[in-house]
Amino acid sequence: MKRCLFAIIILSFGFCLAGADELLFTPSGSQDEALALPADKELACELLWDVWKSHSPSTRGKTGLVLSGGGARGFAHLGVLRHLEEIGFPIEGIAGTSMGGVIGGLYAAGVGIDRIEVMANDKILRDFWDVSTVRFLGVVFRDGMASSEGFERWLTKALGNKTFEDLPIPLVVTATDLATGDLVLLREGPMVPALRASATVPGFFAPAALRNYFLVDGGLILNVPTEAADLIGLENVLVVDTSLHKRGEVLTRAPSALKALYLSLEIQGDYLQSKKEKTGDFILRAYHPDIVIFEFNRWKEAWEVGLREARNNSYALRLAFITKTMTKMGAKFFELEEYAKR
Amino acid sequence: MLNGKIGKITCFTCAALACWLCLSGFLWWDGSYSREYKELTNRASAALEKRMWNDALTALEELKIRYPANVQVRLNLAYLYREVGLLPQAREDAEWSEEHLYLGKKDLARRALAWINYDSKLYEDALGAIDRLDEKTRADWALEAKLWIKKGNWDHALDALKHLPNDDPRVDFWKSWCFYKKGDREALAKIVSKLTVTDTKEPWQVLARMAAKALAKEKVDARMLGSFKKPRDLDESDRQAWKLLEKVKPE
Repeated sequence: MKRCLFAIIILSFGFCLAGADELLFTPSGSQDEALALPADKELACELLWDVWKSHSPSTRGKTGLVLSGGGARGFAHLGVLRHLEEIGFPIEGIAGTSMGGVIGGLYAAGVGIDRIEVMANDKILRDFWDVSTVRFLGVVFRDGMASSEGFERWLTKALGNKTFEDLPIPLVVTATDLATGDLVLLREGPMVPALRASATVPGFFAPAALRNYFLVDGGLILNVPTEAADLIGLENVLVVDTSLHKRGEVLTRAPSALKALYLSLEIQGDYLQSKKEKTGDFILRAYHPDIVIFEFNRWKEAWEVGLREARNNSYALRLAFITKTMTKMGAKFFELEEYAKR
Repeated sequence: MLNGKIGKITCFTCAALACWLCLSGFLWWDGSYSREYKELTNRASAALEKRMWNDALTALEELKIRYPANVQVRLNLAYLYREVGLLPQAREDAEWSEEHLYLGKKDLARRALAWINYDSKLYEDALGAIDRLDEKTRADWALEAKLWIKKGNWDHALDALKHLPNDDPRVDFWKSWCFYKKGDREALAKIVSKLTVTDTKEPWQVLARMAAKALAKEKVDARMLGSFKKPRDLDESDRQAWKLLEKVKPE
């Protein structure tokens, strides 16, 4: 009896399941599609890229990154770094500002991408960047600034007492001096205070007192620090820009004080940036238009944008560097030394 | 009361009736029995047959609004969204379908999800979907191999390629590619001999051959480019290749 009941139940489920098989059309995605051979251009690009990488930095030029600010959107840098590792992009120096300085600093210190991703989920980071209206009003009424102790703790967990001099990859981060209004290039001494200074949003977080300066976010006057790349001798520069370039949000009412503040900062940074002539050899724009700088709970979305944009532009990016070196070297481009590091 | 033959037959009939009611209830609940559902499905099906994607989308989206719990509609929609390149929408419907399909049928959605994520260049997520498959077909192994190649994990790619037939030259190519990336120069020669013909007129092929020779530590004689004439009609991509060739071409 029990067996009969069991059989009936199984049969009924069988009928129910059958429905899902009734697909209206055969979806694409076959073995042929997966095994398709690369197009001539893709194969040539892969092989030329291997030739390019096989040249020593002294022949092809020292290569590195310039990472822009962008607050939470800056986690796109992490997605880009992930792809750069996939293609074996040589990172021989990093210049960064604000979040670009932080991500670049962690990477230069040898903190792997996987670990930075774990760090992005850390509650300390989210609490620090919690700029809810209540917290903002607290700051306003106290006429004081929020402490950045939490942020420093977050950085110290990964970096300890590391200094710039300890780094396997040369790094320079930028900050703005409140007294003179000058751009300060930080490339020596302890890392944590420098990275914290570079990412200090003015008006909300207390300025970082470092050496003889009171420092705030470097993005205030230079959100994409291409000039700083010269300081560490970078000749081939990949710029990763996570600044919000497409403004088009319709403001139906006056924005909140907080929103007005960060919009103003971004507009100012973009404007000043547009006056700069130095742009790097390839600019990879990887910004999520809907993420505002304090939305650190959306870091993964920014990360995805970074990875996608890097992969979408992968061949163009590599060809830009190949073309530059071929122009410089001519037919010697194909004469390889024994540097090959595959 | 249920003892004896009559009792057993009664019980059996009741159970069958209950199951039939459950099945009908399920089909009624997800809309598969209604005339409206059939009409819209026929409309979508006809449009798909003629490859009129917009009409098919309209019908399927209408079905989704009216029967949001119908897995078949959502899964078809996921496939169609992928076909027309609306990948975020495709992912959403495929993920929903995976969650709501019954055990044993989830592979349909997982397979769709793997391809959608592959197209979106989200290789880790695509590998995750493949990993969740209950049973892998050759196409799944091929996709897995391609995903590991995209990620630069040559050993895993080679493991996946082992599940594909040896007599397929494409499998051989990708195996050679993986070995080359692992540092095997002979494998590179094997690839190049297969893919580049000596009298090619394609500028990208010429560049590929020159690069391959350089990587294999063979001397690259740029003078051979002297006899290579620039064609009149070049598309954007070939123009780019020509620019590169002209940089290495001797005066």
